Amino acid sequence: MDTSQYLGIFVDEAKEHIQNMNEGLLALEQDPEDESTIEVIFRAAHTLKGMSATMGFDSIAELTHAMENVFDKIRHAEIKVTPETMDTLFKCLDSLEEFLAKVANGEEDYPDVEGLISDLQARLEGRAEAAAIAEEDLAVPGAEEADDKARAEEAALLEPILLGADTLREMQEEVQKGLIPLQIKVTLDENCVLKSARAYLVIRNLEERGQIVKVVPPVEELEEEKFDLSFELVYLSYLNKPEVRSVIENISEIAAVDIIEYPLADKAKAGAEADKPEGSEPSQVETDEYKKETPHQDKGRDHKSSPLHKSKVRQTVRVDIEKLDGLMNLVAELVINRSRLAQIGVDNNQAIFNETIGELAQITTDLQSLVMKARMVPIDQVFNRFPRMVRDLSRELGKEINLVIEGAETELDRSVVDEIGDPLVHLLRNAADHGIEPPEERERLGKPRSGTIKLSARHEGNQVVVEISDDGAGIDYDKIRRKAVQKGFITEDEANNLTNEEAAKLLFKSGFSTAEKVTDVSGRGVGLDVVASKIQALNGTVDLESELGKGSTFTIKLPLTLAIIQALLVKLGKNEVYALPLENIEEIINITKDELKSVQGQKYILYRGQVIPAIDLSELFEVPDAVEHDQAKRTMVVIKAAGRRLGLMVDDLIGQQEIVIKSLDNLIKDVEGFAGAAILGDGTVSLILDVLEIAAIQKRLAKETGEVQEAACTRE
Amino acid sequence: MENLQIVVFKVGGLEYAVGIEQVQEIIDRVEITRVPHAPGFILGVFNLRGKIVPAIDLLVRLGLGSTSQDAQIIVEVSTENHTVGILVDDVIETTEVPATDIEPPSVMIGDGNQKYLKGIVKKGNRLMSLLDLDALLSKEDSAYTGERQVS
Repeated sequence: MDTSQYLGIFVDEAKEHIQNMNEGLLALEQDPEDESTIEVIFRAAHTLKGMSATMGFDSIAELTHAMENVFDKIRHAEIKVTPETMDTLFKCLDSLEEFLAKVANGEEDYPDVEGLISDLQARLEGRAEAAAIAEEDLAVPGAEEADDKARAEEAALLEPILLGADTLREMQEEVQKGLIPLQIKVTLDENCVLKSARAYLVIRNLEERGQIVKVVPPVEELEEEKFDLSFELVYLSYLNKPEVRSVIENISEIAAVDIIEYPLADKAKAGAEADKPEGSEPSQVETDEYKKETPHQDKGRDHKSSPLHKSKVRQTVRVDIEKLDGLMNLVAELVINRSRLAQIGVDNNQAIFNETIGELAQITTDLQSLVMKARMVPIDQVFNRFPRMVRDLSRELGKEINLVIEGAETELDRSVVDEIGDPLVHLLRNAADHGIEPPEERERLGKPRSGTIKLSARHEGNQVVVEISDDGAGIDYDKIRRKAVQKGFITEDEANNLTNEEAAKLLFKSGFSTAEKVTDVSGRGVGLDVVASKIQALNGTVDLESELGKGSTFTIKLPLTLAIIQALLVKLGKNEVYALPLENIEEIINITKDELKSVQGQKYILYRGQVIPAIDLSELFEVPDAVEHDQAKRTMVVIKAAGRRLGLMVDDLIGQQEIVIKSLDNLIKDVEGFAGAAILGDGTVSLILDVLEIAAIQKRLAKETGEVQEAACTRE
Repeated sequence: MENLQIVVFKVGGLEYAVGIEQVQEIIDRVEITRVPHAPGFILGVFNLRGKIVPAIDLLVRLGLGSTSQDAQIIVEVSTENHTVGILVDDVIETTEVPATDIEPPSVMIGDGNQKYLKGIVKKGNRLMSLLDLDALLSKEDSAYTGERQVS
């Protein structure tokens, strides 16, 4: 069988299963006795085994098989969950991830899993004291016994599924009409790959001939393959047991079918019991659903009302991200053309034309927001690997750390999610290494032994705010000042005048690390500067707040999407149009020539009692046909970038417009001052100003002219 | 020896050629947006059906003055890393030349520009410089930051 076309799906699904195992193992470490967690891990390992065997990745299958054996032992309490066992299991997951990455990249030098498998085997043998482990884990004596017992119970009688009182009453009425109530347990073949499809076939075939009262686990879970190999259902039809059996056994990959008559009479009492507090909750819920379903089922059982279709879980489709990107690009083109049409409409001023454009504009906007939403993914996709990372870190550093995650469901654009991972890893490592103190020290300080790192995400207007806070040592601003002087970043005088806020900013400079000792985790002097530049590249900001002894909080603000922004178009000189991201603009003011002060060749104005640098953009950009400003007034756009205010003098304001950010060719990427380009309504290109870079240019210019002035002074 | 398909165009009175496989299309000049502080040979950027493409001045790049303001044609060319438009006065022809008619550049020219050329194409009594676009668009080159000469 050629399986290559399923490769993408395999990789995606395998990743999910590995993630589930990761989460499961973490939970298991907290609560080794929790059977439901073990069950989840076991199922994930089992499914992964089946999938990879089908796809021909035998070493994944072997490794997961070995893991499954261990989980099985844990499940039957035959071996204990020790930190060493957990370490081995985590290593297995790492190896699986590595393997998948290779598969995804089409590489074939798969990692060697033999070592891990024999490690797992050793754990099994050591604990279970079995002479030899056969291919089948169930061959181990202890396991066999347990298994036999289970089988015996099963053969004796299926545990009747609990039903609600209303359901039972309705069933009884049906039975009086001659229908036969049955409880059926279907066990799928161990090698069955498309379990949910098989389950669906069983349910559909049964439904064509009768009425399904209840399925355990619920149909939604069957659809999502959230079941091991078997599921049970309560069924009403005119068919007897052998007939039902043959209906089911006609479907391939069915390992076993157990059927008992559903004990309705006995369950009359049970129905009443279901109303008691300990009555199983699902059956109560199921009762309502059953009632809703009944009318449909009475009027011929069409497929649309079958449990698989009525599922409340929304139907989803996996879409290749490239297709979404393509769609996004097309929408962006559409936005540009809409602007062009609007421009033509304005020029020609035809009512009917403008009306149509208005409608088109509305549709485009709707389409755009829909596509944007389609590209949104929960930030959990990044967050979900952190519990594991923090666990490893805490073991590595010998610290006790709790990670609290909030708002993992917060959605943002896929492109942002892809980029935000590394900065967050840096910050988390930073918090674990520099922030949280060793347990003994924490005790001495009267803090709880284990430190807490909180990672939270939330929407705030058009932005996503991600916060990473710890209750650790906090930041010693004086230490930063000393370090900065020591490293020659600033002079002693400057250090003394440095506010805490400014001192915090030094931390984001490259080559700055205050860790007393260099550890494996952080303290190599790279990190925060990388974080800062990465986040700036995403058009976001990062701030730090800290209190010595209490902890620190990093706040990252990111735009929801990178592709389309609101911008103010401004004119420089007679012809040049530039776009300023609206997000950076604080205010637009008119200033008079008198208000413009010049200090050492640099212009400043007094804005709300604060002296801020003023830049004449036409001058900065050496605009060819500059406008003469003989009038006293000039227009100034006050922007805020990285906490600094800056006044930009422009020659004219054109207006606000939605623009699509296009990147610049490599040849001009290094040119400072521009974040990209946008195509305007008339088809021409306008450069988008990067206010952070402009602020940096201004700072450099100020320094240079300052130095020139100084040099001039010394010469005199 | 195989033949080479080339597109020949004229800038500043001289004939230049590029391999046809590198030519994307030839368009009428559109409005070019100046990019402040960009290297001198970059005239700016223009919109090619939604793509932002840099326009370059070949003569500035080669240190031979600058292309006339009246140049009305843009030849869009692509290398592995870049897509740019070259502003030209005229596109002359698309032709096929035998590889044997291409002389190595160092023999003919000694003005320091040979590194931007793959060779000199002889056709009758015409001489055409076959451009090496990879070298021409290389950022590592010292001339990259060269200021544009005032014409």
